[in-house]
Amino acid sequence: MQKNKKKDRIGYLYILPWIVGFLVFQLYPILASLYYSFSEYSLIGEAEFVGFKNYIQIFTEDRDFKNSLIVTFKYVIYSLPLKLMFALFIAMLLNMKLKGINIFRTIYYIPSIFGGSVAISIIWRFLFSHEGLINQLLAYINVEPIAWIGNPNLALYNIGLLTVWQFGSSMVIFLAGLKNIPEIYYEAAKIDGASKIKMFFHITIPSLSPIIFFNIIMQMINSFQEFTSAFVITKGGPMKSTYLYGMFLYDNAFKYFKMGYASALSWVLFVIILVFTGLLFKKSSMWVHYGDGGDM
Amino acid sequence: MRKNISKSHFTSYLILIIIGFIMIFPMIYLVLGAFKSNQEILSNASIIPQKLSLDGFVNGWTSTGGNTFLTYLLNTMKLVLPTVLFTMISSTLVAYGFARFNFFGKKQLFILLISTLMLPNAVLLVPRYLIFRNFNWLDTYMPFIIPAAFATFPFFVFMMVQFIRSIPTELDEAAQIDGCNSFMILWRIILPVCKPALFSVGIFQFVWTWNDFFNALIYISSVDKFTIQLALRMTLDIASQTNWNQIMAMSLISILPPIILFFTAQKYFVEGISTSGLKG
Amino acid sequence: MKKIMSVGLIIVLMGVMLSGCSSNEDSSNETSNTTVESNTDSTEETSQDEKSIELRFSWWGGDERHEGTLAFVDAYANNNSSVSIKPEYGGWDGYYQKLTTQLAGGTAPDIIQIDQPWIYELSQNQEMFLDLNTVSEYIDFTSFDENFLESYCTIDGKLLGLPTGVNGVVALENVEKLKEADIDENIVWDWDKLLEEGIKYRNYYGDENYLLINSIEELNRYVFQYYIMQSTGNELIDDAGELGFDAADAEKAYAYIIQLIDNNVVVPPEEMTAYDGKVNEHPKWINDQVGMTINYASTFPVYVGDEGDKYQSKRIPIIEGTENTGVVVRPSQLIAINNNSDHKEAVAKVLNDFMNEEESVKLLATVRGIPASNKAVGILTAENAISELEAEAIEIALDSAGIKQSIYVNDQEITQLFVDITQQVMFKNIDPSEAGDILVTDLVKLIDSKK
Repeated sequence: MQKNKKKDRIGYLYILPWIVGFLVFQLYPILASLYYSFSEYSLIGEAEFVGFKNYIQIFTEDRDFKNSLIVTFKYVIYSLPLKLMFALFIAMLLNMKLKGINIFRTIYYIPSIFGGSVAISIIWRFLFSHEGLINQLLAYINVEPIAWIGNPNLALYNIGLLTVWQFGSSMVIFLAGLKNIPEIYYEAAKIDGASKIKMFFHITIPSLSPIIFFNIIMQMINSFQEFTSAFVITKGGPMKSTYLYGMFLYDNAFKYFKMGYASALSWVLFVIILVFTGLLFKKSSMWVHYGDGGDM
Repeated sequence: MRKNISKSHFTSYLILIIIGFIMIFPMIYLVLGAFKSNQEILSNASIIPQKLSLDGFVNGWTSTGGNTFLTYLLNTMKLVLPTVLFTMISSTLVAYGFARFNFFGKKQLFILLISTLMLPNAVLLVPRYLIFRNFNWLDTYMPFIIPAAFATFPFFVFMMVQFIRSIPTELDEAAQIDGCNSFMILWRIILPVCKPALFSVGIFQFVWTWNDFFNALIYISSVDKFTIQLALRMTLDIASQTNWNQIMAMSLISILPPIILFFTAQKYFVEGISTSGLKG
Repeated sequence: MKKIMSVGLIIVLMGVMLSGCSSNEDSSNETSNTTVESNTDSTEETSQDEKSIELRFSWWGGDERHEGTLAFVDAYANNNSSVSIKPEYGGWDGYYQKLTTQLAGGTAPDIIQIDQPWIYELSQNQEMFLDLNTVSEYIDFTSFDENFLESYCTIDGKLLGLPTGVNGVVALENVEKLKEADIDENIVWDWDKLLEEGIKYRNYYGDENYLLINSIEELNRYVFQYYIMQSTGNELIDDAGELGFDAADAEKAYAYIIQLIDNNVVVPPEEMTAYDGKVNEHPKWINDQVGMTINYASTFPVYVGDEGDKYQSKRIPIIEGTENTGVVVRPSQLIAINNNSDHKEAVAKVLNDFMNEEESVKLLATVRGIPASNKAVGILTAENAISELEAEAIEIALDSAGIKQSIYVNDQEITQLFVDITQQVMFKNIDPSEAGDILVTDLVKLIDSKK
């Protein structure tokens, strides 16, 4: 027992870089933003302590807050499962030993390399504007042009498309995870006569579960904070139908210079994400299997 | 038997090609647009250039101020490569600590690690700016490189933790019996198996840092030190004509290094636990 | 173990000390010269002009402006051996965010190009910019119109920046398109005529053709807000924060906009969402399917490209006899001096050179619009360096100028409130009378919170 404890304490040494990094680079900004959230701070002057004023305003008066929260939830529910399903499906295809698979893998990752590039806005316009390619193709089958970006009911799904299109990173992570599943499991199962579907559910998913879990958590945290797609394509419009929380927060911080209010908004988001993440972690022990036999 | 394999291969290829075409179509537009004149891009005439023009490349390459795009490419490399290297090293070390050791407070610290991801960056920007100002790191690449050495990217730590944890501890125990200390276990057992994961860390950090605009904007003032993302937006102004063909040409050039990197790093995705010592 | 702990503790303490200190010293006297680039050799501080001084100059712009300004920087260095200017330039995106971060951290440049409305926001709590009156011995102010300086560059008697150029809101017409549709070339616009001729235009050209193209944000400003100001003759929001209109006035203006949309006079809002600030890139503008647009004169060269002859400037729609045309005439940008600069004297000299010296004026030409300095205009006219279209447009704007807008009108949050409601109306989400009520109620509340 004593030996184990001593050995375990070496763990502190390994995580020391993070501890130092956290204390030097992250602790102060986090505490500062917490302080700002209880202040009014315009960046230009001093931060003025105002107690709970920001939080009260958020929950009682701010219509944009409610709207952005709803928009963001819609966005997460729509884009997250789609993105992960595509990522897993394609990763499995790309796991096969096909000729030229390297090229295919690169092709599927390229959209993620674009990121929030400047070029995205003009590409998106080219495809989805009133005179864009999609509408031109629709004209061939006699369909009236659709306002993909301009229609408040469609715009959110349109920018969600950008996210789903960029499923490459999740796919790569799944691919790496698939590579870690020993071939012999599948071989043994085949000998036992298991069908492909059975193998998927009884070998692939359980072995991949830590990675699936990771992707769900990370993509969820990222989607809640999503900002770029709205900023680059629609600027939150039309009629705030794509006014994601991340953008709403950014506007308050850097457009209206209400840094205190923006800080309060980020802490509210923090709590929301924390709650969802916590729930996912709690439930994870039911379906996530680690090689070290432990759980979260 | 043979027929069945070909059929499933055929369907796989078919799906991959169709969806792949949709995935890459925007990039095709980018490539073709880079060879058009600016007027042509905006008039949306057709996707294929009516008249091939290298204006986008020539004018885009020689930007104002005496620097060519090469400067910006090299700058970005100077910033990205150390960041990536440090990230890979520090994330792995920290992840190993969390994954394989059971020290007091581990759970709480891990929760702390992940929760730092949940706070949006916008509000942390100004305090962090103050920190880097105090260190005199403004207008340098230090704000990117140094934090990377201290595993300040919970995404990668968490990812490595998950991968390390999916490796059975039997291997570790066997090595321990053979007399390995913890670092040797990491180096000889864990890392080889985690190659795909480790290189994912490398590629992602490369791409994300390569694409970073806002942080670079805030920390870098000298035009000579601009990264690609800053350079691409350098001439975008409401009161000025945007030369989209230049932007497309230079965007094309700037996504080439990550693409090439990804393509060549793929051999690390072939290995994994399947080739490690479990069988024996 | 203990050793590790103590080493760790020391690192921690160091980190906290270094990171947390001077956290709230926004008014710190850290000047621009102390932000270190690790390997520079020219940031030597000096109190006299013996040694070489380096001044930082930041601006935003496109290619042309960068080239012109860099030429100025080089020429200045050649003519003044003791001073060199370090240019820090880029695009518009993120400029303001970066500037305010720098101001918050005390690391802003010496000479700063700013958008005119920013001086209100940026001088609320602190004296961010140098009062140029204190360095008046180095700068010649006579080439500027006194009223212009007073209205737009001065707060509380302090002159906070010099205007680079004059800008104003004007209509840009595609002469041929209008002529062909039988619209009088010399027509003097008002709102009724806009509607009438718009219907005529549409009937003539048919589907996918519209007389007027503007983004939602622009329609809100140049149609909705101007309509109200012209009908009431008042300011939109005066300096005391009082509204110059009521819900009924707003309702009428919204109803007018609906008419424009329903009669296909203006391009539908669904098609404009992705073109905020980039209407010149809209396919309908490029393909000549629209007849005119309303915008700041400085944007006209971008709209017009090489085809200047096809277009002419015109006064925007104005209700005859109104007390307030609402037309905004203002500086394109201001050049201001950082109040924390170590070298105020040297910077003032640079500023003077920028605005008044013949060589500099020629190098800078019209990269920032038609200059606000009469001297500069004279020099450039003699060189034929001013585009006729833009010169004409500025003249029209000056002629039709309205009452200067209060700082409330330019406030970002207030602007966003206007745009939001106008958008809702345009997308037929709420009707004009509802909108009028909401606008007034919410505006009053918002303005109150800012007082």
